[in-house]
Amino acid sequence: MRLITRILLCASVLIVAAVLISCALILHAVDRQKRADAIKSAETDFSEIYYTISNVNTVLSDPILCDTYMTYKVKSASHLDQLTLSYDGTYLINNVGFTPEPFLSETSENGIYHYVITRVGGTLYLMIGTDVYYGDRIYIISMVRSLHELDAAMRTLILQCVVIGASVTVLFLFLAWFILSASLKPIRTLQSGAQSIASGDYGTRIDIHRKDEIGRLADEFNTMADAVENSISDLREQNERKQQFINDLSHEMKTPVTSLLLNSETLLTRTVSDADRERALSRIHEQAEWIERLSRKLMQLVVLSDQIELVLSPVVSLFDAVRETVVDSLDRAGVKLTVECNDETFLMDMNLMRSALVNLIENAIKASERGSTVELIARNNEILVRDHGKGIPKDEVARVTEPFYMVDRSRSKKLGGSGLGLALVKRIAEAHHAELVIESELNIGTSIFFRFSDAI
Amino acid sequence: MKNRILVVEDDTAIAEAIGLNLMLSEYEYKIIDDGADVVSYLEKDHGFDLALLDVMLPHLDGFELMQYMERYNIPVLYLTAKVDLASKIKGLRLGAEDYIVKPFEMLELLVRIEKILARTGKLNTILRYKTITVDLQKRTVQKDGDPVLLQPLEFDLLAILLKFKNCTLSRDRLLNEVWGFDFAGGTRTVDIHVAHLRKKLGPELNIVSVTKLGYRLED
Repeated sequence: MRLITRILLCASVLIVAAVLISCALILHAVDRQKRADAIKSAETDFSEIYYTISNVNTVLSDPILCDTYMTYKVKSASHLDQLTLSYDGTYLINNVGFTPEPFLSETSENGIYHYVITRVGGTLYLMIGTDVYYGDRIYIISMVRSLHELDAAMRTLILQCVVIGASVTVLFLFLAWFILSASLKPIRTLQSGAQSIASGDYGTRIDIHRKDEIGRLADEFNTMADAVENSISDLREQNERKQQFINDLSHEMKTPVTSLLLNSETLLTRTVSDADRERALSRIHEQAEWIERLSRKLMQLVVLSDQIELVLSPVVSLFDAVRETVVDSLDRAGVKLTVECNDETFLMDMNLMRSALVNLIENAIKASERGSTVELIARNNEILVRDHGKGIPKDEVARVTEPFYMVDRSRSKKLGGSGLGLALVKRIAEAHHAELVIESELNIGTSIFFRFSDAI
Repeated sequence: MKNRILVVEDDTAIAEAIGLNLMLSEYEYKIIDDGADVVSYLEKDHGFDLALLDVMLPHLDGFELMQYMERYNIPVLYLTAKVDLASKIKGLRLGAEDYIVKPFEMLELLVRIEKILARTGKLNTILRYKTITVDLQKRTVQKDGDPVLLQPLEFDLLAILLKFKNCTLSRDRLLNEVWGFDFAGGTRTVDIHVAHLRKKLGPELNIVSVTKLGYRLED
C-alpha cells in the first residue's frame, strides 16, 4: 500500500471517530436539556391540574356520582386533550388513544406522581400520572404529552451533525492529501533519482533544497551518489587501463609469435640450405628469448605490490649493487657512469630499487653516444639518473611510462626492448610512495627523478 | 621470368622468414623495413608484381603507402596485426587486393599471393621442372618435348605440387586445394593420384612422401 494511502486511511479513521464522538456528545447534551425542559413544563402543568382536581369540597358517597364528579373536575382542567382518568382499570376519560397505565404503573408510588418518557407506536411520549383519593375510591389521573417536536428537533440536529461531520471529514482529508502529497513529492524525486542511478546513470543528483529531514536526506543522497560515481569511474578507469594493457599485450605478442610460427613452419615444411636453417633457428631463439623477457617483466609488474618490503637502507650499497649489474653494458656501449652520493638513507626495497635504477641506466645507455657519461645521483629526498643522450620529444614525455609505449619503435625492438621497462619503474616508484619525474630535452639529455615523499 | 615481390615489414625475423619462403617458391623479392625508404626506393625501381605491406611501419604506415603503390600500379596485400574490422575495411577500401592477419601460416600467404597474381594476370603460367614443362593456361604437360596426357585432377595435383615446390603439403591441404572443401572421399584418393603421376611422368618427378605430414616435390 502506498504511504500516502496509509496515512490518509489512518487520518480518516481518526477524524471520523472524533466527529462521531463530538456529535454524540453534542446530541446527548441537547437531548438532555430539551427533555429536562419538557419534563419541567409538564410537571408544572400537571401539578396545576392535580391541584385543581384534588381541591375537593364535597365528598360524595355514591360511586356513580363520584365518577361523574371526577369526570367533571378533569374536564374542567386545562390540557384536557392530554389527560386520562381511570378507576380500577376502567377509563372514564381517555383522549390520548392508548392506555398509559401499564407504562406508569411501574413508577407509581404512594400517589406521588412520577413521569416516564417512552415511545408508543413510533411517537415519543412524556407521561405523568398520580393516584387521586376521592372518598374511598382511588382514581388515576395521567397526562400524556407527545414529544414529537423534540423528536423532530433531534432528528434535524442529527442530520445536521451528519452533514457537517461528513463535510468536515471530506475537507480534512482533501487538505491532508494536498499537504501530504506536497511533502511526499521529494520522496518521489528521491525515488526516481535512485532508480536512474540504479539503471547506470551515475551522474544523477537530487535537486531538493529544504531544511527539513527530507532536505537532509537529499543532501546525504547526493553525497552518496558522489561517492558511488567516483568509485565507479575509478573502477571504470582501472578496467579500461587493464583492457588497454591486455590489448597492447596481445598486439605486442603478435609479432614475435608470427615470426616464431613462420620460421618454424618453414623449417618443418621446406627444404632449405644449412645457412638458411641456421638463420631461421637463431630467429626462433631470439624471439623466444624476447617472449621470455616480456613474461618475466609482466610477472614483475603483476606481483610487484605483494612482495615489497620497505627497509631503511643506505644509498651507497644500493648504488654499488647497481654499478655491478650495469658494468658490462657500460663497457659494451663505451659509456661512463659517475656516481654521486653521501650517507643518505631511504626507506626502500633494495631489490626493486636496484632493478628500477638498472632499467633507467640501461635506457640511458641506449640513448647515449659512445664516450658520453651517465650520472647516478642521490641528494636530499631524491635519486636521479641523468644522461646526455638524444632526449625524448616533448609531447611524448608523458606517455613513455605507459606499458608498451616506445618512442622509436623499430629501434628499441631491435635492441630487445619490451616497452615495459618504464612502466615497471613507475610502478616501483609508486610502491615506494615516490614520484617519478621525467625532464628531457631533445639532443641535450634526459633526467629521471625518484622524488621520495618524506625526506629522511 | 620470375615474379617480383616487395616486402615492407619492420620486424626483421618476419621479413626474413617471408623472404626465404618466397625464394624457395621461386619468387624474387626485396625487403624494406621503413615506410619512408619505400618511397625513395620506388623512384629508382618500381617493377614489382605485388607488395606485401605491414600496416604499422616507422615514418609512413602501410595505409599511407597505398597511394605510391597505386601510382606504380602495384597490387597490395596487407600484413596486419590489427584484428579490428575498421582497419580491414580501411585497407580494402583504399584499394588493397587482400589482407592477412598476423599470426598467419606461410602456406596461406603463398596461396593468397598466387591468387592475386593470377587475378592481376601477372602469374607466370609456364612452370618448368627439370625436363617437364607445365602450361597452366593451356593445361598441357610436356616431358622432353613430348605431350603427356593427364586426367584433370592429376593435372591440378601436379600444378599445386610444382607451385609449392620444396614445400611439404599435407594430404588435407591437397584435398582442399585440388578436390575442394566438399569432397567426400578420404585422403587415400591423394595417394592414388600421386601414384598415377609417378607412373605417368617417371622417376624424374621426385615426389617425396613425408611421414605423417604429406608430400613434397623436390628438385
